[in-house]
Amino acid sequence: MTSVLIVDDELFIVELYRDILQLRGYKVVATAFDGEEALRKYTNIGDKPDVIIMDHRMPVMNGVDATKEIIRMNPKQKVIFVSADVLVEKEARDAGAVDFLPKPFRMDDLIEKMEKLSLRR
Amino acid sequence: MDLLSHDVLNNNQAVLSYLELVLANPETTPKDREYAEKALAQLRTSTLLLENARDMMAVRSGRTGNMQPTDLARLSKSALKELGKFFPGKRFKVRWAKESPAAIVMGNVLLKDLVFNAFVELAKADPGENVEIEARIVSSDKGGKPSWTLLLSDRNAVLQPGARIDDMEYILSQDSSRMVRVSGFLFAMMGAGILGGDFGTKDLGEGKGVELSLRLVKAGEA
Repeated sequence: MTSVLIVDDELFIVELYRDILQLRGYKVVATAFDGEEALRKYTNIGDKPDVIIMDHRMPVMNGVDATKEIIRMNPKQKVIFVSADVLVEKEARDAGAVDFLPKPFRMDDLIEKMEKLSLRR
Repeated sequence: MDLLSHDVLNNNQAVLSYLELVLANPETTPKDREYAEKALAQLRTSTLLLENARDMMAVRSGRTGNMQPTDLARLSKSALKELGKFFPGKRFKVRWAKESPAAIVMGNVLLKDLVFNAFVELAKADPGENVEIEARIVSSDKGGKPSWTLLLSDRNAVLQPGARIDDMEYILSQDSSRMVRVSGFLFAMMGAGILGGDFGTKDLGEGKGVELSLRLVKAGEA
């Protein structure tokens, strides 16, 4: 089962992703509400998640900075960046995100991207 | 504006996803499905309007990113494919002229949205359920600037009063109280101007429909 770490500062968005991904057979191993919490949880997780769904605009540490740190720790980590700010796409990809989805997006599009990354086992 | 649009788009994300869940549920009745599809279409329009406002703010603050060569034909074809999502009751057929050149123009983040806005308004101007659009791209040399012009026509479309380009220029400069619901055309007109081109609407006459034109400077010629 593909494992996912969800990072977004809005509780209702985290709950939304979690509900739908679980319905679609994904395992949500952790959630975080800012970049720093994401780093802390990522460091402490033994089995790293197959994919991280990362928002950008968050308190304490933004998504681009969190992605840079995570990729520095584990260059093979797959991060799908999701943001309402399309202008951040290049920064996100430069930080190491493998894909970018502008909000609002269809959950099917997110799942299709995850499938394309061959994340399902 | 950035912060406001960010928050609204987050809310739209939740509404979109829960409506998708309703549509994916096999127990949803056909009537409820129809209502959900209509709500989804309006949500997409609301998102597009918000993105327009955000794009304009980005232009004003110089955050539009660099101008890059963009394939106008490819961009248009991809935008036309998306139209159906905004109009659940309509069916679209687009006929491209046989020889559509690879039309590479200079554009930034505005370009995709302005092309899409023009198509959405053209679709709105056609009252029928079956919308047929003729599309072609021609080379032009307006004002000494080598350009590509995208021409879209719909024989059944009818321009609202105020949707002709001269009227829009007057509305913008003189009398915004005459504003009609063609903000997509206004956005396309302003966006094309910012990118160094122009956008026009043309009433082809009784029963002949409407033609839209979007002219943009060829890449390497700006």
